[in-house]
Amino acid sequence: MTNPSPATGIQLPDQPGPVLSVRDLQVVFDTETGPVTVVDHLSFDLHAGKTLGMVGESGSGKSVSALALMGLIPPPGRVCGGTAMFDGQDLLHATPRELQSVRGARIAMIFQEPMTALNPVFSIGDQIAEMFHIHQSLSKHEAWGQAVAAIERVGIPDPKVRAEAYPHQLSGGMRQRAMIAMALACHPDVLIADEATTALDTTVQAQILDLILDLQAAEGMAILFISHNLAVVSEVADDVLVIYAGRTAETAPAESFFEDPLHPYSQGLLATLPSADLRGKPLPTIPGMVPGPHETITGCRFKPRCTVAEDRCAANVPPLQSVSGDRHVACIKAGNRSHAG
Amino acid sequence: MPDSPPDIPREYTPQAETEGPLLRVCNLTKHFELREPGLFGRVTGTVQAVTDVSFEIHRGETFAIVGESGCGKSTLAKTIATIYPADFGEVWFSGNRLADISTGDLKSTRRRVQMIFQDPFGSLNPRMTAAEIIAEPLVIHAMGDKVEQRQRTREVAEAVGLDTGDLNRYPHQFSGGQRQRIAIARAIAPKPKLVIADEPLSALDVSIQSQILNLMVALQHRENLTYFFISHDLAAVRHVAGRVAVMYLGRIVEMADTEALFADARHPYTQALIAALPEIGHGKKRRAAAPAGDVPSPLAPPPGCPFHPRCPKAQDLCRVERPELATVKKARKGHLAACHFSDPEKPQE
Ligand SMILES: Nc1ncnc2c1ncn2[C@@H]1O[C@H](COP(=O)(O)OP(=O)(O)OP(=O)(O)O)[C@@H](O)[C@H]1O
Ligand SMILES: Nc1ncnc2c1ncn2[C@@H]1O[C@H](COP(=O)(O)OP(=O)(O)OP(=O)(O)O)[C@@H](O)[C@H]1O
Ligand code: SF4
Ligand SMILES: [Mg+2]
Ligand SMILES: [Mg+2]
Repeated sequence: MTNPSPATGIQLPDQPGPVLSVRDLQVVFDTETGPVTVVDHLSFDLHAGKTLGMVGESGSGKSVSALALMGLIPPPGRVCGGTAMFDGQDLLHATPRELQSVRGARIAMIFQEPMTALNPVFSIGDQIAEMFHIHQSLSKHEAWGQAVAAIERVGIPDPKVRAEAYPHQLSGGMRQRAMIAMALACHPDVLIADEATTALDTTVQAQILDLILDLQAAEGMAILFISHNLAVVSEVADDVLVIYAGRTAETAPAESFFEDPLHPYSQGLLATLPSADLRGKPLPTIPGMVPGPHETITGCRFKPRCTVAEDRCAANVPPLQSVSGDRHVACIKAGNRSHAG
Repeated sequence: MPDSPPDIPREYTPQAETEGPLLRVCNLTKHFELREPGLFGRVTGTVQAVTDVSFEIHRGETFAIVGESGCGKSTLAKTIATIYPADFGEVWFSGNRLADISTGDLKSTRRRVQMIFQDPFGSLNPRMTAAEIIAEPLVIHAMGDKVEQRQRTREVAEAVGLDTGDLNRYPHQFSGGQRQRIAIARAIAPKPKLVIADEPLSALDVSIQSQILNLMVALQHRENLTYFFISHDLAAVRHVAGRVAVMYLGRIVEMADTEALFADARHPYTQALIAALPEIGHGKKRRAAAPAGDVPSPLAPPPGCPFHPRCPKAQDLCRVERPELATVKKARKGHLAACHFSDPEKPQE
């Protein structure tokens, strides 16, 4: 935490330190063609009672970063650098046993694909009850009662009957809610929500977001909220981190970010949203694709798609620089904006 | 049929291949029995996933279904795609009743109706490479020789923005969004007529979403595709769909042209859906209030109007009598709603 590399937000003197502090996280996948860096020097802080929204293109490393914190990177991936300090403990260097006691109970995750996280051969009630049984040493019977209550809280109708259902018997949105119930079961200090409401309709989404934010207000949970849906992020996040090809492109308080995105990639993202006046017309897109991790691009990784790029963008990886107060941008041109007004 | 509303097909006579709607769904019903664990487990309840759903999709249009999670959208799609047998009702494709089609024809009809499944991970075989997954429908339907199949695979992979150098990788080696593109490539590979897309965008980030939406529109024009588009993303629906149906608890509760639906929603559930749409510029915690009350159970739908326990407008009538899907007054042609009070000018008690 004494590491001076750029983090998100400024530290107010009377603000308690972050609950989880990630510095220079680096994740590599060993592929046939050699190691590829999928997450590169990622740093951020999560504060109690606050939500950090993480946005970025498909394949930019959001899920991999989250899984790294949980110690769940699948082989051939591995964490090869950085620290993630949680309650005096570095999660990236913890033993499997230490992680086991943190995971689920103190740091919980809502996974992007519920089908891969839920066990197909156990009922959802059994799987949630298991959490209470292991982490709160409740009896089997009490744990089942708690599981039914948890299922009810996330708005699944007929919780008693549905607790007996297997994952394949539930709709996509219900599986998602079952997973949210499991994640919130033990009142974690940190919640990592990876596309948590993507599979839900707007009314259920609003209910789930209310549930999560109410819990946050009551218990001071810190949240890492990963989502493609910028509108949802704008309604839950205190701060925003934009990740591009494994690196931080921009960090800012949510309000100023949505008012005035500074990185050209962030500007492109906000411009691609469908709106009423674009109906029937092609939507603006950011041309091209995120570079594959094996593609070697020197300098700014966004340069091939950037509409304002200059030759000097290819010279060096643009460092994450403070632009004004609590805003940081990894673009050599973003600093000039203050002159432009 | 002068006395039945124009857009609810109750009966249908076969028509030539190129005339009439591409798809006609009449009174389709699909329920699931829930059983206690074990081979001969007792039935503990019946999920009324899809009940008495009727609509048609015209050639070349994009017809969207939106609705509550668990209201039966995927079940409806899978029943139309003949993955689930219907309990009741009929599906007509291009003038042929699906149940009547002989096995050989059913196979060719299946080729012409392709589905993009909701869970891009669960629906991709983990032991097949991306290239094999995309080519599989071509192999099943014996389309072209090996060389042509490989060529078509590359062509659609490129069309959806996959790096063709990655095609010999396995699904788990792709990100969620990349996997969704594999699923889309697979669906369009055998040149279908109707593409049923169940949440094709939810795993994609916004910039790829807009690329995929643009791609879907471009493919639609080029290959004369018709889309049955299921999505929670109202902004995307509004952008691409010509008509929208709203489902609640297994039934269609409103159906209209897209513009009419967004400008002049008549069913209180549709109004709630639109009101809860998140928007940039409101900041944290200023979301529209979600409709109160518990989401009712498809195991035991409430009597009367299925939405009445959560409806701000509910009256005594709503608690006893279920409103039929009917043409709404003072609205555009083809605007249907299932609400006793869909006419805003009709005084309430
Ligand atoms: N097992 C693996 N082997 C090789 N590469 C992998 C593996 N798993 C993930 N990757 C790569 O790591 C990168 C980051 O993936 P990640 O799942 O974190 O993306 P994401 O930002 O969560 O994307 P999405 O928004 O689509 O979920 C991708 O380029 C992906 O191809
Ligand atoms: N194979 C099955 N066995 C038993 N019940 C099922 C089965 N498939 C779906 N159901 C139930 O049918 C109802 C409708 O499910 P469906 O998947 O069609 O919903 P959906 O509208 O697609 O929801 P979502 O938006 O969450 O994907 C749900 O209550 C679900 O639990
Ligand atoms: S019929 Fe009654 S309860 Fe149902 S939506 Fe209309 S007003 Fe509400
Ligand atoms: Mg992801
Ligand atoms: Mg579904």
